[in-house]
Formats: sequence, structure tokens, C-alpha cells
Amino acid sequence: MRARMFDYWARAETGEMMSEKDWDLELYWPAVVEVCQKYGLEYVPEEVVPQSNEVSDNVFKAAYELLAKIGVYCQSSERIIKISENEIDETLRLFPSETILGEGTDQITIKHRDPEDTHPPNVLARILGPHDPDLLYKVCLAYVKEPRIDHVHFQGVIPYIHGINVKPGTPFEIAAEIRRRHEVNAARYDGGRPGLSDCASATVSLQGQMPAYRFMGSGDGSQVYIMPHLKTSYEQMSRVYAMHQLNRKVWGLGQAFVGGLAGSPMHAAVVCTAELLAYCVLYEPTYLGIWPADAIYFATTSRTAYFTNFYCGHAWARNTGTFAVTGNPWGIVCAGPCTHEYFWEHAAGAIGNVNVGLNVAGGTGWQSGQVNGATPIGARFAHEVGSAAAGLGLEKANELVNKCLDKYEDQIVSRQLHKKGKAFQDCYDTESCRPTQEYLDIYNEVKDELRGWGLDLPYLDD
Amino acid sequence: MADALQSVKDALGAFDKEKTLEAVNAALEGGASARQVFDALIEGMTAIGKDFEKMICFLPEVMKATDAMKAAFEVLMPIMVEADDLPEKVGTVVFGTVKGDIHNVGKDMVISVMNTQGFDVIDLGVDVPASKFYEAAELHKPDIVAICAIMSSTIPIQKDIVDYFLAQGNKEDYKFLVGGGSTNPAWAEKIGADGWGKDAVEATDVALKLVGKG
Repeated sequence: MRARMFDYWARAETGEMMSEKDWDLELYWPAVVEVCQKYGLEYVPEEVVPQSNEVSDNVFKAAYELLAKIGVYCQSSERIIKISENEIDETLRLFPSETILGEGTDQITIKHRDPEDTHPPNVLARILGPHDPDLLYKVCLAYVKEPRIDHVHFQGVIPYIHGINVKPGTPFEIAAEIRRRHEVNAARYDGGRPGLSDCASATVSLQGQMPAYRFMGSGDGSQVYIMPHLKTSYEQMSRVYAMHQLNRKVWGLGQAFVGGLAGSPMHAAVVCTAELLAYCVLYEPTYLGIWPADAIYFATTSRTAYFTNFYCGHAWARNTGTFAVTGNPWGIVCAGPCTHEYFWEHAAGAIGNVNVGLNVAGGTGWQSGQVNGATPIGARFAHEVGSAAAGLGLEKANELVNKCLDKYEDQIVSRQLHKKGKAFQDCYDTESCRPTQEYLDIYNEVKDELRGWGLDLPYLDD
Repeated sequence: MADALQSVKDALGAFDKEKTLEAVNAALEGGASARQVFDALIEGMTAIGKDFEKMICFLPEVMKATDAMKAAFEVLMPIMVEADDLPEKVGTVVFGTVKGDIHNVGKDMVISVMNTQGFDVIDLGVDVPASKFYEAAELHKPDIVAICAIMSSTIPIQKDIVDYFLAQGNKEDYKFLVGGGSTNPAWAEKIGADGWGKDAVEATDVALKLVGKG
């Protein structure tokens, strides 16, 4: 398949020229509105988890037609990369139904997941946002010590090194990335999981990332974007090519911004699905996720963001045979660690994801916007809840996701939810790298309530 | 007259530049003053802003409405100048995302909300070096220089931009508004910025306060 990448990328040199603003307003947006109208697709707030296979199939058809109609915009050359229906079809026919991350005994296989699947999901744990350089190793070790975590993005950003703030394109960025890789590798070896996959993308610039490639394991990888919405650039293509050349993993995600250029939650579901298709055609990834976010509050756990997430995920799982995609919260919730809301946001995602055919994720609080906001208990919890909720069905999943939203949605509407919570060092023992009793008590309270809703959560509670 | 002004608001609410211009010209021909038409446009844009915050309308539609409003202003402004009936400006903002950061989503959201509140915003785009912020400020003489940085590692560049104005000796000529990613009020204060906003709504509220309209 990889022989085709340059065929598509070459179109960035020959395609129709257009300004980015004209692409956004005159081509992309009218086409999004048109395909949604054609299939009668509308946002129904109370049906946050899809209740109709036909609607989800129409989301997929609309996304397919959107991509075939308008293509992808290359910001670097200001040209359009057109993609035919045959090329989309061929990509999906050849696309793998399984993928492998990590190495050795820590290697995992991610398989296709049907909406009705009763198997436990794979879980991605993410460390995001700025981290105290002296604490990062402990945070990484805490993640390594969570057995239910399958793979990790150890993406804690080191904000300063040698007494200097780290900025993109500087030697300090290179030094910070090398330091981060050392901390991650030390934690993986010390924790006894040297092959646990790290697919972090902590640097802004490609040059900041490259010198640290030699510290990557063969089961590791990095992120490449389809820029929102339906855009790419030579920078992104270069990142893809670099990872494929190194025989490392390439991952990326549909990241529709709901309320922004992606439009309503239903428009965004179509856009997000089209972005996944574009990603598969242009980049041939090893791993995929979706990360719709509310563009007003940048929440991945709002009703609108979850609606987009679940409809896109359901459309994808029903209409492709690819390995399972990981859904929201994609490792980032609004509330900080050590709060009830942190768990309810994770629960909503896990319950919905497994019932539409997605995998689950968790970990970082505070919208990844504050220092030391990552704790692995969120990912553990997502795995437990996702395993218990697998096979519940769309109707029950919708009921439970709505109940979870009732626990925190008002604080998203008032844009206050990010103000709660504690930093890693205030809710984890930094010697044992285990959660404090206060944190475990909150975790167990939420689990108890979920048991009362009928979820079977049989695991030991520390 | 009221019907004609309502038609102006309706055309703007349909995010249609051609229809807005038609409605503006029809209102003027029907006897409305340029200032009355201007006020109707501002009222219509404010309503669009409220719908935007509630996700009733979306960024592409707000951007289209902004284009329509600006085109209408070009018709109205010479008439208002001649009549010496210029409205009080809300304020001018020079806005960009810092060098090294190519995220435009946050910036575009804030600009759209600011436009709905009557600000005149000069969008410098993304990956903008400090010198470009400075040159744009000297050219447009804005009330506010707004600096967005989304990535943890691009946030320090907000300080570089404030420092550049300091080095040129005219930081005090402007108000500085920062936001994005893991910025916070303490960071804004540390680098000598005058305001901070977490999101589009808060940033616009702060901007209104900075120009004495909040």
C-alpha cells in the first residue's frame, strides 16, 4: 500500500489552487451542509449514543461522498488533493483489520471491534500537558504500573531545560525530547514493561523530534495530523514518511471541532468520519483515534463532543473492517484528578465507546492545560467500565451515558469544570507511585454507583 | 423603515453577503440613515454571536456573516463620514498565533466572537513572529494586541512578543491579551500582559473590559 502515498502527495503539486479561506467557506462548508441535508442528518441531543443503524450508515455515506467530492486541502501548496471513490474503496479493501503496538511480551494486538462486541476493549493511557521535569519519571512509572493499560502516549511536555524555556525549533526542544525519552525508557524498564508502546508526540517541530528517534523502541511511534478540517501539509507528510522509513508506528485522529469549522455535532460526525477516511488514504496509519472537541470550551466530554464521537465511531465500525479506533475522551477530561467528575467523564466515554465499536482511553485531567495533571487511574477505570459495559447495546448505553452526563454537564455549560482537581503529586504517593487513599475513595464511590446501575465491576479496588 | 432594517438583520442572519448588501442598499433607498442601518447590522451580529455561543450557528456561518458585515460597512462608512455621524468604535485588535504554533482553531473562535461584539480584528494568522506583531501594531494602532499560543512549548513565545514591544519602547501604547493551552492568569501577569482569557467567550469579555466597554 505504501507505494500509493506519493501518488496522492504528488497531487499537492498539481491540484486546483485555492486560498484556505475559500476552501473553508466556499467549498468545504457548503459540501458538509449539502451531504448532511441529502441524508437528513440532524443533531438529536438526547440520543447522544446512536439509536439507529441506518442513521450511522448514512453518516458514513455522507462522509464518503464529502471526501470524494472535495478531497483534502494542502496548506503548503494551497492546492487540493482530489481522491476518487475507487481510491477510497481500494484503501478500505486493503486496510488491515489488526494492528500491533509495543514489542516483546508487552506487545498488544488491536483488532476490529463490532458495536455488539462483548470482548473487553483495548485501553490507551495518555500523559499530556506540561510536567515538572523532576516529577515526570514518577508519573511515567505510575502509568507503567497499571496492568490494565495496553499502550501509552507518554506525552508529558518538559517546559524548561538548562534553565531555559523550551520553544519549537530550538536546541532546547531537542534536548527536552531526549530527556523525555530517557525518562520514559527508565520508567518502562524499572517498571518491568520495557516493550510497552509509547506513541507520544511531545515536540512541536519535526526537527525537535528527530535526534531522539534512536531512543525509540520498535513498538513505538508518533502522531501525524489530518489538520482540521480535511487539510494536510508537507510537514505532516514528512512526519508520515519519517515514521514509515524508520518502520515505526504512525497514528493520527479525526479531530472535528464541534461548533467551529466542523459545524453542529452531526455535521462534525460526518467531517470526523471523512477525516478518518482521508487519513487512511493519505498516510496509511498503524493506529487511529478520534478526538472531537467542543470548540467553545475545548471539552472532549461534553454532550456535543460525545455525540460526534459516538456517531462517527458507530459509522466507522459498521462500515469498515479496520482495526478498532480509540474514542473520546482520548485521554483528556475537563475536571482535574481526584474528583468525582474526572471519573464520570471517563465513564461516559467508556460506556458509549465499547457499544459503538470503539476502544477506550483515559488519564489526563484539566483539559491537559495545567502542570502535572495526568494520573493513570482514569485509564484503569475506563478499562474496567468499558469491559463491564461491552455488549449492553445502544439503548442501554445511551441511557447510562445520559446519566453520566447528568453528573457534570452543568459545569461544562458554565465553563467551570476545569477548575476542580489536584495535581499528580497531591493525589499520588510519589514513592510508590500509587493513588492516595483519598483518590481511591472517590474512585470506589463512583464504581459503587455504577454497580447500582447494573454494571458488573468485579475487580479489586486496591 | 422597521421592515427594511429587519430585512438587513435577516439577510445577515442568513450569512449571505449579496443579500445583505441588497438589503442595505434597499434600506438606504427607503430613507434609513446609514447610522440606522449600521446599528441594525451590529444588532444582527450580536444575535449571531449569542447563537454561536449556544452552538445554534457555527464558525463558517459567523465568518460569512462577518464578511457580509464588513462589505456593508464599506458602503455605509463614507456616508456616515459625510454626515458626521460615525458610531463609537468598540475597539481594534491585532490578533495572531505565535511563531512555531500552527493552530488556528482557538484564534479563529475568539476572533469570531470578538467580531460579533463589534471589534475590528486584524488577523495575522498562525506562526507569527514577534516582529510581525509589532509591525502590524504600528500600522493599525490597535487598542489590543492579542496573542494566542496553544502548545505548552509555544506559550513562552508570548513573553517574547511582549518583550519585543518593551524593547521598542512602546509597550504602554497597547493592551496585551493572551490565552490558549496551559496559559493562566498568573502567566499573563508574569509576562506583563493586561488580560487573559481561557476561551473565546472569556477572552472577548476581557477585551471589552480592556477597552472600557465591559
